Amino acid sequence: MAFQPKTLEPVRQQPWDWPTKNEYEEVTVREQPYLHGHYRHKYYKTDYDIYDPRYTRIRVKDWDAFRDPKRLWYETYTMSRKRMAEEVEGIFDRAHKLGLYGRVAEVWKNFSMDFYTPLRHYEYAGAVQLQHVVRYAMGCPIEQAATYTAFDKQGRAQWLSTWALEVVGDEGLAVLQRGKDLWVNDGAYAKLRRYMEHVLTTEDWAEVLVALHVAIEPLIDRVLYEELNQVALGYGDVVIPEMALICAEQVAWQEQWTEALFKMVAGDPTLSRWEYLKALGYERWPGDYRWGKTLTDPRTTPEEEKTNREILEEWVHRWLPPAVEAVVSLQPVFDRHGIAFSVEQSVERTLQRVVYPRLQGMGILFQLTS
Amino acid sequence: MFVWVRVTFDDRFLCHQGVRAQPDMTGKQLLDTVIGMWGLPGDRRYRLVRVHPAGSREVDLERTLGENGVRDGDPLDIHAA
Amino acid sequence: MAKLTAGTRYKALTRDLMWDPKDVDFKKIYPLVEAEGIRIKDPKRWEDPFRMTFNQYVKIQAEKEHLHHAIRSAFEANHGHARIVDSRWFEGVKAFAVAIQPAEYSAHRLMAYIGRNIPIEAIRFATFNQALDELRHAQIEIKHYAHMSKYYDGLHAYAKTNENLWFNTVPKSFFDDALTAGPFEALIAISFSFEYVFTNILFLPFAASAAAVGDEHFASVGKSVQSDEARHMALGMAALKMLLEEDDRNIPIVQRWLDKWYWRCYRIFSVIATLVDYYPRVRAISWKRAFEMYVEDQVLNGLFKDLFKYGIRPPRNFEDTIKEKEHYSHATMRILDHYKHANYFRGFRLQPDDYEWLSREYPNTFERYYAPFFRKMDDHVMAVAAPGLPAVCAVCQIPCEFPNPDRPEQMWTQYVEYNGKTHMFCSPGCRDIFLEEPEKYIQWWWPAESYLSGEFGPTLEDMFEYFGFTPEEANEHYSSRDYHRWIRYREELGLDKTFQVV
Repeated sequence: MAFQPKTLEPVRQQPWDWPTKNEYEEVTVREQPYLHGHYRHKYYKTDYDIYDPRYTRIRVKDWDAFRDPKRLWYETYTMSRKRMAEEVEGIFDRAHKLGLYGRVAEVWKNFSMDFYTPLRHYEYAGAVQLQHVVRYAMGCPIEQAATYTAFDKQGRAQWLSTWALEVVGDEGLAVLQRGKDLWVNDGAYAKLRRYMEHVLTTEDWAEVLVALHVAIEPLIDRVLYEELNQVALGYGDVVIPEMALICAEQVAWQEQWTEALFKMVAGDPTLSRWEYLKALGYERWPGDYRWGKTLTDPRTTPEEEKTNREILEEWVHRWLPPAVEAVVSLQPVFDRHGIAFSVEQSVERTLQRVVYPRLQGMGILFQLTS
Repeated sequence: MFVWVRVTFDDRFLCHQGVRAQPDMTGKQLLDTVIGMWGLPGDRRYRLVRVHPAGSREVDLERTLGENGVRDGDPLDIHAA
Repeated sequence: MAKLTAGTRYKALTRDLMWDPKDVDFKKIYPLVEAEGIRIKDPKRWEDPFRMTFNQYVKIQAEKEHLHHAIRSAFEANHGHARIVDSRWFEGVKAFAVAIQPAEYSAHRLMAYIGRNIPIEAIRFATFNQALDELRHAQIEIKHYAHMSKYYDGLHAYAKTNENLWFNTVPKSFFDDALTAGPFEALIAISFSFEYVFTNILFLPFAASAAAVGDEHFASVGKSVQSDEARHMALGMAALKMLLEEDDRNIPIVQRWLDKWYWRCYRIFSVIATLVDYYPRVRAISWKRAFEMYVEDQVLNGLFKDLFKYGIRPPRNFEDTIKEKEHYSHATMRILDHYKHANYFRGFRLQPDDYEWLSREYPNTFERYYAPFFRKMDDHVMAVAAPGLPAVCAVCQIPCEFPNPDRPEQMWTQYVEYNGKTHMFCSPGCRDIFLEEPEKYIQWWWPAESYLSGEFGPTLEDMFEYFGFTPEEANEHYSSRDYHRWIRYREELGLDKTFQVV
């Protein structure tokens, strides 16, 4: 190490009063204030604080302890997504210049427009409800990951739209119109649409993450962005598989951080939702002087009786069976175009290889009885 | 209970400052507390005035704050008599 | 294959993605849409002026990040902090840091809330871009302070100061006010009042001051942030016009919000006035002139004239903000010096060049009303210290120490009786805001009241533990350890040597 006079040495080695290991932690940890929110909402949960542990049933010893395994912060997020955006544009550009869709079988083209285009609504709905998570989740580490994931979903919805508008066919806006019509009115999409509508009315932000990233998305995204690749190639389509590889990269991350989060949650034996105050250094804080004076005392809200694991289990039971049903019910879209692909088998593979082992990792034993 | 007190003739005071108080202490006791706390000249006489949107009211130094109608969080001005 | 025009393409990518729900009630998805009395008939015709898609967004923003962080790295590697003209500037940077940075973060959560709850897709995509931008601002700002914190006091405890310190309640309560409002009010509060009306005066003079004193990193923070604000301002204007055009019954509601948020924004920018007039030793512009340029000319004489055709009048009490321009920075600096012993950034003893500049720029007010206060610090820096915990305004939360601009020797403090209690306000502007929503404002967290009620324990030491910093980090700059360290640092680098040429 180069010689450095003592006068030039920093007076603190760590920027903050809590240790940070990297740039991601420097800009993420303790960003959200936990104490002394000034007012209560005028119209929604008027008894709750601005950042309140009661927006979810799960309890965590330290909300700021969660770490995104990829450590994405704004700089690294935009840098990596810039690369993806350019790759996708390159794929579309090459497809256009080489006239790739002139060589792709009509049957696949028709199927893929009927299948990929409606699903932009599925991606979009997820993005919308993740904004609810961004507002109400506890602590910056969790909501930051949700923020980028929501933006990714908007991005994928736009990629699917661009593909349908400008790459695969020449129909203009009508193709998106038909996609929406299928999404809203076609029986094959009814269960998936209903599922997303229920997600959009789910208030517990952690439950939203279970419904999206633990239950439905691993199943459907495997079909969309992975398992159909070989089928597409069989029909001469390289555009979908190349785009899917990039989407799969985003999806892998969203599942990875969600899994890390729920592993942390499931293994956390904390029973009081106020326990996290200790981790923040407020173990001796007697509570806000306004409690009972101008604000209701939040400590009078009864504590949750179930453990985190039991709550997660309850959510998995609530969301996974309809998720499986919703995805399996997409089969007629394949059948009516004569595309040989069994959604049920794909779902079964994903359950066995991805979903069940992941749930086991959280200590949740769950088997779908067919 | 506490009240907000401003010493009107002292340029350290641009606004009222918080002082702990009890409803059963007399105006005189409150005055003595702040004279000691803020080092006001002990040989002078002072008036205590409660500031209220409906108008100011003199605080009777011999009676308690409660009897004077001084409530939690009320602003009070100290004037040199 | 069909290549669409940019406008059609943008619309296709960002609209019509949401559908009318069939299995759940629309109002269950959007429970807040009618809460505020706003009526929306045909929001589809509303246009987002910026037309930024996902791909464009990440490409442009990554490029900006790349440029900005290159400047940051150079600043960090080359002792940039030692090269500015006077280290007292960093006390202003600290003020900005711990006040504005958490506000950026709140704005991030707030924009997500707005986008989630307003069922208009064009707004949603713009607000969601902005939710990301605000996170960006929070992070590029905090990166600067993370570096500065290794060399200077006051920044290391930002989480606790943000949660518990009296000074932080000013910006924090502002954003908490918006976060707890309905989504349309929040949109007008932040996108229109804050962004459209005031952002220029927030970032442009301060970035110019940073450049003037040689703080290249902070100048880059300011400019890079401001480059995103152009989008936010456009969103604010479009959102306002949309609400006004959708239904006549929206107009009085919007007027009420403009009245409230104009003053609310104006008040939190009081500290910016000191960052323009006081902390930089080389000044780019005075607050008064910046206010005339960015607010009087552009907003009050320009924008509100345009809004007249909708039946919108200039915001309530705007005349008071004009009257106050000759007092604002001085009165605010006086407050900061008055309570500098309990703050994480320091005041400072004014120097002869400061007196000269301030007298010249403010010939009607500075010498007459304010200089005597600051001169008292010449003999003893604590001579002007307040004797206790101040009564602060129940709306803006700044100590009630703003003079009445019509009679500057008197304070402007207002009193209101509500719910068996006397409430105090710094000005008629804040009082009027309280009178519109008293039930909301009586919920505020009042630091002095909390300290006096013993929320943090009985002693001063207990209080500092909750502030997170020590008394040595407070007080006056030129007598502080930060200043002495900075001087020694410069000596070590040889920055003060002068070389003769013969």
